[in-house]
Amino acid sequence: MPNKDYSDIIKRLKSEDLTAFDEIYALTKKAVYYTAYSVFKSKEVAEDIMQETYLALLEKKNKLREDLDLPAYLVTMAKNASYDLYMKRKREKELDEGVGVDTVFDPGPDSGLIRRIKELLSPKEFEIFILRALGEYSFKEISKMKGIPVGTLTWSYQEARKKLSAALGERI
Amino acid sequence: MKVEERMKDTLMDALPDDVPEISGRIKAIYLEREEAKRKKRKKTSVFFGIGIPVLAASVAMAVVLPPLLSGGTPTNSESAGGTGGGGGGSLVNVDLAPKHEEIAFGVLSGSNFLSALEGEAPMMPRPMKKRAPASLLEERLLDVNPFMLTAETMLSSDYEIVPSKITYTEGEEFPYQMVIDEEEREIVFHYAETLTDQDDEEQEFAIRGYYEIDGQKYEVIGKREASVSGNESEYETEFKINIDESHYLVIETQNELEQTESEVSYGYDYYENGRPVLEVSLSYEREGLEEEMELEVETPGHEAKYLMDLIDQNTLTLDYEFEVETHEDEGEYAGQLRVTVSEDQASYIYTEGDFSLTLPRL
Repeated sequence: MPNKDYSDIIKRLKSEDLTAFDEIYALTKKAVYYTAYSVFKSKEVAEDIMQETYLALLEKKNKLREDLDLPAYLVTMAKNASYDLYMKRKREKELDEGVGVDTVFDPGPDSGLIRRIKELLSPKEFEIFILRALGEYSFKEISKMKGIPVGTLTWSYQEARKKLSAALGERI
Repeated sequence: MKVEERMKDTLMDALPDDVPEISGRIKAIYLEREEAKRKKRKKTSVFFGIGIPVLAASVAMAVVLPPLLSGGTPTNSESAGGTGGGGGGSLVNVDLAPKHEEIAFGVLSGSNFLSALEGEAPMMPRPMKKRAPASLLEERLLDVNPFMLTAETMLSSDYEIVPSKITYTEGEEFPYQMVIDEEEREIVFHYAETLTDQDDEEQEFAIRGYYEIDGQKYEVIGKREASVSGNESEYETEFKINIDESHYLVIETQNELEQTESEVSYGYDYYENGRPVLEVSLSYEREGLEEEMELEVETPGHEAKYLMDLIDQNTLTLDYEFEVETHEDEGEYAGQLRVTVSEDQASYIYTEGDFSLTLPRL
């Protein structure tokens, strides 16, 4: 399926039309936010990463190709920013003390499917599943973030997929 | 749609829509930054607009009080951030600001070049002792890589900020000391300068001294010129760095500023036994919000041209064009490489299709 055409909105953004930015934000904010949230499970940190991501978009807007898949681009920027920040904090040992990272993925009410997935999986499987399926992190990246061997990760992820497939069928 | 994409969409649909609404805040920060940039540009143009009388004043002071050229107050030690701002409206800083920045960037990029030659990162092409590259592209990238960090730095928004500090010590043979601190090494440029020519719009200085990089010393002789006319200004430096009896490096920098345009170029010519064996020019041009970075590399039998663009903080694109004249590989080549900074920030990963090459990020 061809990607949606974002050339008009990119052109408008390049001409300093900030209503184009509002439209881009409305279109992509959820994906950008949860990409960061999947790693940090902290609303505050996810918000900071959102800010960094969209500011980078505005500051680099003149370099954007007009055939760009804008949502994918923003999600990748948020993903990279989250990963870099996570690894930086890990190096600084902040994660050991829990600074800036909540322990539970809790997006709040009205997320029945996510709660159901959480019930079906072990905490470790759930975390791996969310990082992989929602955050789109590679097994190598998750391995570095969590300190889990890639082999263990792929096995856990496949197990999680089997459990979800058996319980939820085509819903997931 | 792939299974993973469908699954992600399903998960996304299951998540609440009420994510933080911070677009207003983001726009406000962006507009504030843009305003700050505009003010900086305006300040620069105003600064050069009044350049002639101010320059004349600084020349007069320089002749009478040479130490003042280091900053404006005759102290023995002074630091400058390298932003070109220095002391703002201080008359003598008119001279210092561009000089400091130009010299600092030249020193830093020249030092990167020397480090490569010294074998700290053994990827510098040495035409007299050629490596055996895995492919033509690899061979060309060995040429390009030593300049990638300079290009990346210049393309990033803070390119002009080279963290450096100038001190002045009265009575020394080389009274100026420019110190550039990098994470893993310290570069010091010890130098003296003499005003050799001046008129209402131009000044020319002779420079001599030496680079000190991790204890290794390299003799440097050179000159710098500054000219200011209306809203236009031009700064040039030329350093010859003697490496050993048969090798030397010439670094030229040129910086032209106009109302809405700026162009910075660096030339690096590496000589062996009096003949150039590597000639490199790196130029950066900004017109309005558009930027362009071009690199040309010439070695005996090879000429290559590259255009670079920064995509995000960890990714660049590198368009290349080169011609090979040797019999078996004869032809013209062109393409686009993606250059990614590695996770540990220590390497560049060059990719194009199945091709991938990792080289140190100097």
